[in-house]
Amino acid sequence: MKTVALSEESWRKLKELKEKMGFRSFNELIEMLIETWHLSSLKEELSRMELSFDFEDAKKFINDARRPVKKSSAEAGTS
Amino acid sequence: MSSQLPYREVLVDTYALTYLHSQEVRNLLVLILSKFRIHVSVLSVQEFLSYIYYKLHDYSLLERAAEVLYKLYVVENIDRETALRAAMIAADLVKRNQDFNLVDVFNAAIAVLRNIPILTDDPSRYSGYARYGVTAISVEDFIEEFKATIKA
Repeated sequence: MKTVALSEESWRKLKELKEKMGFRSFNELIEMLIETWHLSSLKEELSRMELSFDFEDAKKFINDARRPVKKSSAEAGTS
Repeated sequence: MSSQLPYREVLVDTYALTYLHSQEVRNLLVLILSKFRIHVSVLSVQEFLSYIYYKLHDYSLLERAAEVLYKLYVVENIDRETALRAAMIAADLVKRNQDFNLVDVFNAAIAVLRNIPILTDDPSRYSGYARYGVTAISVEDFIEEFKATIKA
């Protein structure tokens, strides 16, 4: 186990939050805070993409982009 | 909330990557990204970015999208080991007279080297790659299983 030092103010806020959230330990509370921070960071990153599209439309584009290159006339034996 | 799915890391192909960002499931993506380490090949990133540029024709948005993708995913470059494995797979496919797409071949190589499954819209796309050790999972099934685990 590790210990961390907190200011009186942070300690009071953390204790209040632990009671409000109904956690049995500070470890659980800190894990929840980290997960919440992680989720909000991901959400913020994703919102920066500003993109809304339909999957079928995107799939059609990928299939079109992957269409095999037509054989040259020499390869096709029509020269 | 804990995921009961038997894997913590997956490789998404271009179709699965696109599906995850589409309006159909975009709201779940944050939760999925918080629970799984998701790999994607640089070739799939390029294909997805091509679609974004095709839709928006805006370089600054394209740049931003690339930045976000590189932050959210483990982007797999084509290194020496991947090139060697992909070369062996492609050679074998030609020998078997089997048509293939190079992006799929590189995905197969990455998945085998990392020992992770591939998420795709259509697992039959990789049926010819099972002999090399590739496991393909439907991204839609993955989403449904994920939804069930977060409800549990």
